[in-house]
Amino acid sequence: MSGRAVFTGRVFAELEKGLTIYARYKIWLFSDLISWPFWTIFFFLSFLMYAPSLLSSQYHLNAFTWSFFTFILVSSFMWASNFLATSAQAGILEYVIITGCSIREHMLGRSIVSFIDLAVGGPLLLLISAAGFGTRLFVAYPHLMFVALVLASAFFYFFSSMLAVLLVSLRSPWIIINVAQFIIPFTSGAIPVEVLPAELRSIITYSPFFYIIHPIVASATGQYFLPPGLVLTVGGILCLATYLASRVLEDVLLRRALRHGKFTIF
Amino acid sequence: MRALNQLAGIVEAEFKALIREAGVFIFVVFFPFMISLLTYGAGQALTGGAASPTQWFYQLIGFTIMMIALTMSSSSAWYFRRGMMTGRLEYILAAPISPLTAVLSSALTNTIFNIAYFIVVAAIGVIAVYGAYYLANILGVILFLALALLPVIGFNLLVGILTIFFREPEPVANLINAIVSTVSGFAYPIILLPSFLQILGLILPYSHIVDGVREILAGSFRLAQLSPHIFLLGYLILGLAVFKVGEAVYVRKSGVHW
Repeated sequence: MSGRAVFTGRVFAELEKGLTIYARYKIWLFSDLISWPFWTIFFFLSFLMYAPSLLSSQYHLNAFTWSFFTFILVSSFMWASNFLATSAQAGILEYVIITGCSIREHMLGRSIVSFIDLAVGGPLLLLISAAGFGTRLFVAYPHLMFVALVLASAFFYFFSSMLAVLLVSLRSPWIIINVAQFIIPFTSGAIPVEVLPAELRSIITYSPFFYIIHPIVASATGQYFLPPGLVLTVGGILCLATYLASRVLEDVLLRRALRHGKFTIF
Repeated sequence: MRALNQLAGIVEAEFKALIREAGVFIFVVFFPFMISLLTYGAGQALTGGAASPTQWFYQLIGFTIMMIALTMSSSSAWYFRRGMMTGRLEYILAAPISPLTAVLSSALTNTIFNIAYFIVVAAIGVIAVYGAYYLANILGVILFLALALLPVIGFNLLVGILTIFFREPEPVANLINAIVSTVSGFAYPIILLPSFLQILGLILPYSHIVDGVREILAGSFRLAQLSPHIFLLGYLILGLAVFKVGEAVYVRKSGVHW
């Protein structure tokens, strides 16, 4: 069998594993479907408590809906980072390596759950915003939105792989993930740039995550802070860099695991 | 006396287990500051710098009570689930101790831990916004929380029984936490919610707790405001009753008792 066929087989096996695990916990699906609307209302109003008048501005309601959409995207993928530590603690990772499967391929099984979470939670959020807050949703640049979503999904898949390797030896990686899932999106463009004070606008462009997160919100509102071509090009380069970094980290982790017999890069 | 000794013994053991989770403690202390500063920053941006520190304090206190609510319901769900997974529930049922004493000891540990946690966060917030002079009001909050968290213990007994039924602590806790967080006025006045959610918020114990805590800290609490809490004790009675029924059913199915 060719190398490509072996790779494809492993990828499909991982995807099947992810889907099987996801479908096994039906109570989770039920819980998610009911809790998402509540969490959405909660975060919406937590931010808008400071400016309740914005609840009557269609532009801001639309912009904030897409802000929380990016939060769901980031959060869904960030939680995949927890998976490797859990695999290591359960003793599964050793078996994964024996099969010749790479860590990134192993992560794919968990990442498919992130994609499903996004596919369910994202539209549900849009629906809740429209039905609950009367938001008239619109996307100013649908073609750029498509590119931005593909870019963000790829970036956060590689980024969560990197983070998973870095956190693999921690007993409670969820603490870091929980903090990061809020800080990363809301300091990097999830809040529409045009509502920020002028001095803050230029500062957030120094965050690499800005070039991944800002295009989603900006494609919806039509307010790109920098030229769309530039933002998406930088985002693409960052995505490539994250992919390479995840490969390097994975190699380092594997070498250390084989040499020292435990999964840690520190 | 014997029951008190048993209670003290379990509380001590539970405290030792809590102390081992230093990372979790740091997280729960850090979380209200992180999330309230995040929303405050966004509020500053949205209002052009008009967000006030008292609004930040309003949310800080709300997020702290929210963390207490979330950790208590999650702990309760996990207590029962871990008990089922490890066989601890059967040991408790088979031991010469009332199962209720064991469960309430765990709840008591949680309550003491959460009040201590509240003191740490609220003290920082009070000093930052109102000054050290207002720190004395925290003493009033300690007494208030000791009473006001009783219905929460009953509420979480219901959560625990639900966990036994569904066998999955995380989705049960996640669902309850989402509803409680949204309707209880932790981060915003419940008047901003649709009316049916406002009613749900008033039925649950948490909106009364967070309002009471804010009033005490601001020095404007009146005894008359305690009246809803007397009715909320119904949660404790309901929780204990459902627990006894759940215990009887579990004993019948697992066949253990002392």
